[in-house]
This record gives sequence, C-alpha cells and structure tokens, in this order.
Amino acid sequence: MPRRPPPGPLWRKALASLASLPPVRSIVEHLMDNPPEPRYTQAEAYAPMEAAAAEAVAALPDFPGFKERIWSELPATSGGIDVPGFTIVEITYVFSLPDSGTPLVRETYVDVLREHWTSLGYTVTRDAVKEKAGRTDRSLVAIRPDGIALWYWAAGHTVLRVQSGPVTVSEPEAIEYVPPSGGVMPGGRYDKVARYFPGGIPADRDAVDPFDSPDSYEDDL
Amino acid sequence: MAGAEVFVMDPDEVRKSVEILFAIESEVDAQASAIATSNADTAGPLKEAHTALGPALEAAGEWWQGERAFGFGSLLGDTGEYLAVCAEEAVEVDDYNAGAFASVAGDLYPERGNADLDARPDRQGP
Amino acid sequence: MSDLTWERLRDLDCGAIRALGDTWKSYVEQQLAHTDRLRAEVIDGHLSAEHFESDTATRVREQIGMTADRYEDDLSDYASTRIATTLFEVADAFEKEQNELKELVPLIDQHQFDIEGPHHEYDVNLSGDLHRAILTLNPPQWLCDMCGVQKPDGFWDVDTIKVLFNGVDLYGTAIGLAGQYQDWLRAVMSRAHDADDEAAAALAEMRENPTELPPQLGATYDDLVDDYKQGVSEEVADEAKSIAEGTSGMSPEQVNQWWEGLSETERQALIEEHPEWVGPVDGIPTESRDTANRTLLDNQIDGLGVQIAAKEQALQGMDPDSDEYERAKEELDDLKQDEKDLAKLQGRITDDDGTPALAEGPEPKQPYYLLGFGTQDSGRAIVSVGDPDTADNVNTFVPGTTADLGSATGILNRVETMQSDAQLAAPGASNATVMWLGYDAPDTIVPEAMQERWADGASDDLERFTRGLDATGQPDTNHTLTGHSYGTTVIGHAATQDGVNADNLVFVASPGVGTDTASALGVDEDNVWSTTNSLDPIQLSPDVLHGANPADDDFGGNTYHSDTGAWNANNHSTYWDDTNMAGRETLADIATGQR
Repeated sequence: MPRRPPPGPLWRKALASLASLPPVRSIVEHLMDNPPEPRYTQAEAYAPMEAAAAEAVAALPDFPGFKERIWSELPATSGGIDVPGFTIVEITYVFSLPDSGTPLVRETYVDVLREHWTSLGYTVTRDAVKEKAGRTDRSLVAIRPDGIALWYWAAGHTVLRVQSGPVTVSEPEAIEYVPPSGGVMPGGRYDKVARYFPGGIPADRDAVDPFDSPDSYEDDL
Repeated sequence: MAGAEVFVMDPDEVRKSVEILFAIESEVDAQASAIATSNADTAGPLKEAHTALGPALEAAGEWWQGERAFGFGSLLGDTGEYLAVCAEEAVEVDDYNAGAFASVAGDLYPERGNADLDARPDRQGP
Repeated sequence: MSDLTWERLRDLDCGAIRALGDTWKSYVEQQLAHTDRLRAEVIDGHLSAEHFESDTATRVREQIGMTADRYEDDLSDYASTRIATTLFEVADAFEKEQNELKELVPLIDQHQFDIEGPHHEYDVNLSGDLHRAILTLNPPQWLCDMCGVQKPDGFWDVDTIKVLFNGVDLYGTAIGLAGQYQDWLRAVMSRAHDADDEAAAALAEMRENPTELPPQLGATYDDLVDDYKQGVSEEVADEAKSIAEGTSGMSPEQVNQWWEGLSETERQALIEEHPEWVGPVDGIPTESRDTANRTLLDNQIDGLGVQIAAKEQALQGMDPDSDEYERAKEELDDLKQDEKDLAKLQGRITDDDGTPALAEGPEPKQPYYLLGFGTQDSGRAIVSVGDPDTADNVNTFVPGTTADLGSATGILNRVETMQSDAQLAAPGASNATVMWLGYDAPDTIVPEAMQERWADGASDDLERFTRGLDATGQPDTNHTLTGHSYGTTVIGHAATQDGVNADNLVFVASPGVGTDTASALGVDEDNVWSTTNSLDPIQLSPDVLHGANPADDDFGGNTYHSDTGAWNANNHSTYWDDTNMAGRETLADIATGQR
C-alpha cells in the first residue's frame, strides 16, 4: 500500500489529459485494473493501526481519555468502482463532548501531534482550520510510510482516526480482538467492535492506561 | 323492519329528531352548493389557463356536491321521512314506502328545503 | 394533461387556489358540526332509548350513526385529504415555479433572447436584434463583459477588430447562455406540468372508485346493510392496496394524512396482514415501513429457499446437456444469488436475536430502518441509518453505476461513514443518512452509464421518496440529496423533471446532471454543491452525454475540494476513502447545515 507524494496540479492535468488519449488510456486502465498489492490483510491491519493510535495517545500531555472506540469499514475502490474483496479499515477514537471542546484537545493536541508526527517522518497531508459559528474546527492528517493514515479532527466532537488504506478482506474469524487504548474499557459499552465478534469479546483483557503505554504492543497485536 | 317485542315511543321527541334531521339535510345542501360555487369560481381561471387541475377541480366539486354531500343529506332526509310517519302514527311502521313517506313528510314539514320531491334527483325517474 | 404555458403559469392566482383550500378546510369543520349534532341531539338525545325503543328504533339509530360515520370518513378522505391538500400542494408548487419565472423571464428579456416553441419544450433563442448586434459588431455590454472585451466604440475601434476576430466567442457565449436559460425554463415548466398533472390525477382518482354510501331504509335494507358493512370492513384494505399499487393518485403527503387517519388497530392489521402494502409506500412513517419490510424480507428469503429446493429437484430430472437444463440452471443460480444478497442485507440490519440492529457509530447509536428492497433488475435497497422521521438533518445518498443488491452492504458502509461524520460534526443535532438504491442503476460505464434512461426511470420514484420524507419528517428538517457518479445524474433528472424535496444537492464525481445550469434544479443555487477531484476521469465526460459538469464554473452553484488518492489509480470513487478527509468534512458540514 505504498503511497506516492501527490503530483502537482500540472502533473495531474497532464495525466488526466493523457488518460483521455486512446493508446495512453489503455496503459492507465491497466494500472487502474492492477492496483498495488496491499501491505496488509484486513486481519493484519488492526494491530499496527491500534498501535499507531496508542502511540499518538502517548504523545498527548494531560490526556483526559477517550469516550469511545469504533471499528468500521469503507469500500475500497479500483478502476473507479467499489471492488469486492477489498476494504478500508477505519478506527475512530472519540473524545467526550465536554473534552472535545477544551482548548487542550481542540488546539494544543493539534500542535503536539503535528510536531510529533513530523518528527517521526510522517507526511502531513492536511493541516486545515475552519471558522464556524461558535467554534473553530481543525483537521490534521499524517500518512505513515506504511500507508496507515492518522487523522485528528476537532469538529463537533474531536476524534482521532486511524485508517488502513485498501486491504484485502479477511474472514470474520481471522480478525483478532485488539484492546482499545486511551482509556476505553475493553469490551465495554463504548468499545464498539461487536460486529466483528458476534460470539463476544474476550474478557481477559484489561483497559490500557493511556499514561502508561507499553514499550511494545507485541503481546496485544 | 321487523316488529318489536319492546316498544316505547314519545312522538314529540321523535318529531324533534325529524326536525333536526331535516334541518341538517337542508344546511348540508346549502353549504355544499356554496362550496361547489367557490370551487367553480376558482376552477374557472384554472381552466382558462389550460391547467389539468381546472377541469379536475370543477368535476371534484360537482362530484362532492352531487354524490357525497347530497348522499349524506339524502340519507338523513329519508330517515327523517320515515320517522315523521312513525311519529305521526305513534307506532313504528313496518311496511316501508319511500314515496308515501316523502309525501307525508312533505305535508307535515312544508318548510323543509327538500319538500319539493320533483326537484330531488333521487326521486327523478331514469 | 397540463397545457400550461409559461405566461399562464406566471399569471395564475396561487393565492386563490390556496384560499380555496382553506375554504374546503373550513367547510370540513362546518360539516363535522352536523355529525356531532346528529350524535348528541338525535342519537343520544331526542331519539334515545328513553324516547324511542324497539328493534326498529335501534336500527334507525344505527342507520343515523352509520350515516354520520360515512360522512366523517368522506370529509376526511375526500374533502380534506384529497381536495384541500391537493389545492395546498399544487398552490405551493405553482408558486415556487412562478418565483423561478419572476427571476428567469427578466433575465431572458434583458439579454435579448426570445422564448419560442411549444410549451412542453420551449426554446430560448437569440432575438433578431441580438443577431444583428453581433453581426454588426455592436454587441451588448453584457456580452462584451462575458467575453472579456471592451464594447467597441465605432467600427474602426481596436476593440472592434478584437471582437471581429473573436466573433465566434460572441455567438458561442450568447448561445451558451441562452441554452442555460432554456434548461432553466424547461425545468420550471416540467415541474409545473408534473405538479398540475399529479394534482388533477389525485382529484380524478378520487371519483373513480368511491366508497359506497350506506343503503337507505327500505324493504331490502337488511340485505343491503350487511353488504355495506362488509364493504366498510374492507375499505381500509382496498385503499391500502390502491395506494401501494400506485392507482390512488395520492401524493405522499396525502398518503401520510390517510395513514394518520387510521386507527391504531387498522394500522397494525395492515402491517401484520399486508406488509406489502405498507413497506414500500412513501408517506407511511419509517417505523411502520421498517416493521413491514422486515417481515417481507423474511418471507422473501423463505420463499426463495422453497423455490431453490423445487428448482434443484426439477434439475435432477433433466438431461444435463439439454437447453432446458441450461436455462433452469441459470434460473437456479439467479435465485441463489438473490437469496444470498437478501440474506447479507438482512444479516447487516438485524441482530442475532432477530431484532433490528444498531449501526456502529458515535453515541447515540443509530438503528437501521429498512425502507424498501427488491430483487428485480439489479436489485433495490433503501436503508436508513437513524430515523429520518425524527432527525434534524437527513442526508439521502444515491449511488451510481454498478450499484446493485449485492453491493448494497458495501454502499451501506459508505452511508455509515457519512452518518458517523455528520454525528461528529454536529453532535447537538439528530442525524439520519439514507442509502437510496431505489432504482435500477446502470451495470456498465459503457454503454449503460452513458444513457439517460436509467435516470429517467428513477426520477419519479426519487421525487416521491423525498416527498415522503418531507411528509413523515419534522417540519424544519434539513434535507440533503447526495449523489455519486451516475447517482448525481439521477438526482439532476428528478430535480429538473419532477422536482425533489431537498434543501441541499451534492454532486460527487458527476458526469453531468441533465442540465447545464444549477438554476434549473429547483433548489437555491447557493445550496447546490459539486466536487470532482483532479484525477477523476469523470471530468472528461463530454457535455453531450449528461450536460455540463456541475463542477464547472459556468454551471453555477458551489464547488468544494476533494483530495485525490494514488496518482496511478482511477480516482472516481475515492471520495470517501482515507485520502479525502477534506471532502468528508465538507460533506458533513453541508449535511448538517453548517455550510
């Protein structure tokens, strides 16, 4: 799932124009129909994604804890259409509404994460501020070299999202439970992963203390 | 209209019922006529504007007046006529004769709006 | 059929139509006083058992009560729901289009265009004066401004020569603008004709199969009254059937009024005994439709199982090399695919214990509501995440090419993403996001997605669906219609031909929406949004297919930015991917009324 730096506008227009020419179009279509092999399967993606979330949490001072964690998916596309057999995993950590509104969470954490992710060599692809009636929204996106994306979005709620990019779909039984970070109670009401574990979530997991992140997530991943 | 094992009748009270039935019949007729007129007044310009709504609205107003409102009033009128005869004779009448009842009611309630039988569509022959 | 011209539409007195609706409403109240009086003063008063008691007396009281019941039903069903509501709806629809004409016609005049042609397909052409002005190199100021040239000052003016060499641009620009006004005018008239025809149909259908009146007292009364009572007991079922089959002529708002007028027992009986008359019907509240559709889904899956077993048995007796076997095998495969797709949909929206599932998302969790499904063509699936009847914001998503029943759960992932984004963007509001795969989507980009027929086939159904949401929802709900790819074409056709109930239109990766101007869509142009990322090949779609790209400047409305995914991939469907947070944020803002 390697990502290349986005081409500049001229590049894009040139590519788009070239793509319309019949001989070139067939080459482009070939690329479209043969997407790069994803680095992870869906089942493999959760562990490094959760580790990425925990690693971000560890960098945040005076962390108040998340309220909830959600595992969800998006259709992955190729050739301009949704492709069966591929998916995009999205993990969302949500701050409570009161915490979402504090300057610490809405402003300070954006600055901290910008610096932190840049120092780790991640590519910041979005760093936006939107003024709205009664609030200022911020959005910070960083991409890791392995293609995992981190999105810190201070909107009505403030969330940390981790996204896998396209991965091959795994059989449900191949997906292993990974405990949440950031203070969400594993298997609790706000640990929203039940869709993947219809038989119930493993009960022998303890909550991860966000202030005491382990050096390695090997046991958990 | 089978006969009854128990029979109570206060002809004056029954007559009062008849008066109410005829009064409502009359008011419903007049009010339906008024709404149909309003309807036609609005439908006119819509027809002139070549809308599909205009003719449909006019027809709907006429249908309401001629079928539904009139049907309601007519049912009340018929029941009133029957009760009028019962009250007049102080017994319930088993042999139903709409024409005769209408005639009696017409004599008894000359002020009734629908007393003119010949003008009533339900009394007109095919 | 509506033969309104634009001039006649402009001059219609909508106030008079609305006033007549009010008159009918007042009339209904006035008439209800009569039935009240019958019950209070006659049945329970002068004609009570105290004053008149016998078998016949009982029968007469019943007759008067039955007559009053009938009249009250008539007043509700016909005078109020049919006539008054039709008048209010058509007055609103005409007035909306009149307001469009008030804006449009002066523009046509000011630009020296002429309206020509038959009233079902108006042309807007350059007037003779405008032709002359261009040919004599004396173009009007507005045209010079649009072409970016100074208005020539005399024939030998330098700018005149520039204009001379740019003569094609003058004509092309003028014709282009006239074309946009033509699209706008045609859309206005199409919607007006549609509203007119629908209103007329609602009134005409009312008279087609009216309920029988109670019989008059008389010799055959006992027989007739039994027939009448039998008819009354079947009346609701007959009405429900007629509505579901689309022969009632009732609008979704009228359907809603009819439904609200039923007793709780009647509603429950319909849901349980005839879910097929409840589940698919726009205007019936979401909760009831959901319950009915889940029953239908169970039944259909069971029915497919029976058909599959029968087909498998039949296959055993056939020659495997015969054509008959081949056909039967194909039919069997289709049945199995339908069963699999429906079971997948059912599994997604239902918990293991059979109760409706909640979608995973930010608190509060939102239930799934099944608003429709089918296996015909490529399949249908209409599912809401969150209750659109109680939501402050409802975003209806129309997917595009290749969407089918088999891909419905994948599309639902996208819908859940939009719902989740909306909840995070506006936690103080209640939100619902609907997947509307209520049409037969094209299966292929070439040639099917290049054809308009799929959009035209969906137009009326999408119109009714949005009007149904309006009828069952809250009065101030913010409605958004979001299309992707061919889904935008569907929305555009519905908006210009029939009209849709939406506050915002969002076109994502549009190949064109069937018109060259946002003004034709019947929605405030400020609330029309388009986005196409820079690597999406859809922007290369020629205008002749589905009209101008709504993301072009000339189209009007607004655009918003969407980021691309990988440079070497087709970026036509990456708008909800992890590479386009900017687009997701903006869409969430639009859908929650924050833009």
